[in-house]
Amino acid sequence: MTSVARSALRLNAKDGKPARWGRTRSRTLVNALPSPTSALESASQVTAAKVTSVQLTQQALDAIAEHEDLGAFLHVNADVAINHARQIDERSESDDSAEDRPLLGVPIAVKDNLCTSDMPTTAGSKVLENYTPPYDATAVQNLRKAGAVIVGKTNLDEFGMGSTNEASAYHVVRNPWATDRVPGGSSGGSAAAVAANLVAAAIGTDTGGSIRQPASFCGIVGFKPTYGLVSRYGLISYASSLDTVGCLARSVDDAEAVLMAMAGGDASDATSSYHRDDANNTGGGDMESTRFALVGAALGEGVDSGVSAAVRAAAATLESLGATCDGDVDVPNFEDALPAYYAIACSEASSNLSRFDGARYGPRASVEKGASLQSMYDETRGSNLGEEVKRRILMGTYALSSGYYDACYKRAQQVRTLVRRGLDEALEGRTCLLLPAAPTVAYKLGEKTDDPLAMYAGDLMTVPASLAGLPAVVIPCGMADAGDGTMMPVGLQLIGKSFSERELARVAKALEKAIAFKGL
Amino acid sequence: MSSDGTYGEYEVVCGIEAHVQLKTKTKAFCPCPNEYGAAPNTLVCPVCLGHPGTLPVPNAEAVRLAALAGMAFDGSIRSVAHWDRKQYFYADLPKGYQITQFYEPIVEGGTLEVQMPEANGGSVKHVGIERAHLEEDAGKLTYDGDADALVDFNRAGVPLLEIVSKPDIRTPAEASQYAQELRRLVRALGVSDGNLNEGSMRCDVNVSLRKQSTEAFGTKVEVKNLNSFSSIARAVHHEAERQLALLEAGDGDAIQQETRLWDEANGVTRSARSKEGAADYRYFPEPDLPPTRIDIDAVRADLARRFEEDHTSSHDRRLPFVELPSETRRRIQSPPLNLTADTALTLCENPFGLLTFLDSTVAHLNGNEGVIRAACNYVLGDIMGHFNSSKTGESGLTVEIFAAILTLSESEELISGKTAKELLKAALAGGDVGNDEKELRQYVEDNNLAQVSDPDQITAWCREVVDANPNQLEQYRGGKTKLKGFFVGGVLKKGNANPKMIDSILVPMLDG
Ligand SMILES: [Zn+2]
Repeated sequence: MTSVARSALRLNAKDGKPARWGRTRSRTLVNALPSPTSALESASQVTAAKVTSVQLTQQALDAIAEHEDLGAFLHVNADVAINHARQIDERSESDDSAEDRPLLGVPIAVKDNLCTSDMPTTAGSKVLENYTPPYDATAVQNLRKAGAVIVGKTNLDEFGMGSTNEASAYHVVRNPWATDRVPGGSSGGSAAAVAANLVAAAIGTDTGGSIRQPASFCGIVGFKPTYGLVSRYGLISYASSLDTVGCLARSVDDAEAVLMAMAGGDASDATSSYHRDDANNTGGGDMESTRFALVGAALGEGVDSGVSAAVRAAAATLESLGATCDGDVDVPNFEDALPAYYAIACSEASSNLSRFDGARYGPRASVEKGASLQSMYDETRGSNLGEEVKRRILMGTYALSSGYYDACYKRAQQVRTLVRRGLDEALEGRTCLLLPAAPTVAYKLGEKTDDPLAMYAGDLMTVPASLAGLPAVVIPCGMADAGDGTMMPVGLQLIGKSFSERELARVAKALEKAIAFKGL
Repeated sequence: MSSDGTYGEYEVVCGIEAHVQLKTKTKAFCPCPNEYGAAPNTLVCPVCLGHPGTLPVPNAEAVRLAALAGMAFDGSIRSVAHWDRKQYFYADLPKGYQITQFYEPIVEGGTLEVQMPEANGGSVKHVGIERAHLEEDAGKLTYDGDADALVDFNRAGVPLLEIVSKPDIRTPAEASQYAQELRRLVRALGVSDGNLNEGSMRCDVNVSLRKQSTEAFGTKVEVKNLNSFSSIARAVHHEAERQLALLEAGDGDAIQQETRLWDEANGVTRSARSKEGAADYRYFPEPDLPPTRIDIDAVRADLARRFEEDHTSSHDRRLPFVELPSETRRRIQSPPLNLTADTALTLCENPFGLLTFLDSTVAHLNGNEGVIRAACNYVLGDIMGHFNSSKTGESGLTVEIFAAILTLSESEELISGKTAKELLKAALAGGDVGNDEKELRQYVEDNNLAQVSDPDQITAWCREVVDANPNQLEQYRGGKTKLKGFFVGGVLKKGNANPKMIDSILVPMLDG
């Protein structure tokens, strides 16, 4: 097994900062690969035997190796991937129909918080260093069933907790558009891999914006589904009631296809939904019947002017396509979502991460013979969990403590209900709501590391849909000045009603075509 | 302790928290088998080992069994089961939290009817049930000689029903009897094995003292590690004595709300090492589990199927498909069985299936009071004796043959009681005495076992014996009536005479 993690940039363990930011390097990715064909197109070529899966997979592996400095991957298993690709190439005619295997032979990268039985799964944490799960996540299983070849595991903020990928315990990820900038997080590795053309599509997870914000920062499509559309079984939990599995790709078509390949009710996840068919059956609407509004609160103060301009321009484009625009609407309780999100997510995280105690798997701190069990826990967790993770565990533990439960956790749940109601109201009679995916474009590495609150504030645009469990898709809608003359991509976010993924995809595709954003 | 169960001017206030492992095929939240005694860590999977990314899926069977238990003690059953997490770190707890039902237990309220043995007054006591909730068991820790702890996760995730009584228990005997009744109940329902020694039932008692005829509770102490019903009674008694001594010494403040462990060998409770500060379990709703809907009608239908084979009488019941132990006791203490309270306590557990056997026999016999009493006596005597001493727990006795023996001995007096016992013994041991009444009659005839009931023949034998023993006759008539046995023995040596007829013929003859 080759692991690109070993040679790549590492965090300075002491202060959690990337060790080599200062290095002079080219600011944009030169020699970006010629855009490989889309995932769907690749699959049809494999199905028609015009190209082999081994060829596609080798191409992806070469690209990954060539762009190792991006830090997008934590594990790459070339042997396993090529073997799998070969099996697909050697399939018999009767094995499958293209319909059953829409991703036949397509190399896909998977975020490293989704369990894979043939590759390590660390969730970007030292507490799971060298851990290989005994099973595949349902989403991964479904991808394999659809014919996808898993080429590697992408980098992320530890346990998905972060907005820049700087909180990975292994190394940072660089934004392919400007390598001194963050790719966003927590699915930063997946976003960078797709944006840099290493793979056509990558799996991400989104708890409070972890697919949408990096998609926005990297100028690609990010699709976060309705909560429950894709099984969470095998997704290493951050916040159970918010976690979703989705997709990052360079086109809405690809993102939708990969998402639907993973979707479906799962007996192993009691919170999964059997609504996939509903999600499939919608999408028949046309532009004349499409009605949308802009979220006013997400376009005012605190939002970069370049970002709001690009989003407003996209709204005008959508209107010009025949859709009806209701202008800016007030979404009740929209701004209350952020504190409620952090209270709930941290509470659930503090509980979900209790299992990482060094007793059954993962590294165990060596303590003196006869030392207490507690001291083993303290050592193992103290030395193997990162600062951001510890911060959120502490916040969550506090929020759930007796005496604070009602004021923190319970109140946050009440706010969550209000946020959901507010979005439902705003979506009443409309196809979708438009807003930015993030208030800024990608900022520089290290810029917000020491200011967690500033970083949390960046999630303002994404957490409402998470709290409400609604689907949202992000597409690149233009470029904006990052403040120093660097032009960086802006992501447009479309929030739809529960299980309206097809409908959202339809609108997003029309916009995508009209905007004709030029990726790397 | 006084004979009425009071301690000085105080009375015991005791509640019991019982953990009962539910008898499901699989664990509470994963597909692993729910079995006792397998090699360590062989009944485990990623879910019950708490591997990253795994999720719980509630076992519908466990929910049904909990609902059934709740119906049996007449609690109100929630139509939707909610789940919570109880959080603490321990080596036997794979996820760092236990899935339980803290905020909304599946069962609330109810009572358990406890029959006290005759030695403890023989009254019927109703102990209130506070709540019963589902949760998952933890793994099991063992320590090897080197002070290393070993964990067996086979038990991790086994479904538990925690049944919490109201503080209605007033004596050590009541505590023990409550626990026994609870076990009878869960066994009768098929909800649990209820084995204290295997840990499928575990009881913790909360004990406090309060001045008699006052309302306020004293400081309660929890006592754990109770491995038998007698240790429950002993622990309550010891804890009450300990608290009484402190109270009477004016040192009531020394009674702390704490957990104590019962030391069986020394018969004392000891303070468990206290945790730093009060435990805060940080309960919150389990986000991995949406509420589980419970369709009570479906539960009832399912249970009716489960208990299909149960054909005992249609006595007035709480549950149409199964007779509860308290209902069994009421029934068998009434006609036609008319058993005593103690006997009813023994038989209501249906040991070795003997109550079912007795019920079937009575149904088969259609007999009178005397025959039924004889049937009861045989079941509680010879037949239970056979099972108690038998290693295999088997017997060759069928309802048909037992009824036939009773018919031949009690109704027809064709065979003597002694012969009946011998036939019974032979049948229990698997000997061939025939398969039905007809064959039994043939067997009796072939082996010349019938007793003589011809009055003329018996009169003649009696006359011979009386005439042959003039000295003994004189002593008898002089008041030494015990000699009757001597004469009866003499008659029986002449032939297999009906003992009752000997009595009725011989006594007037002796009396002259
Ligand atoms: Zn299991």
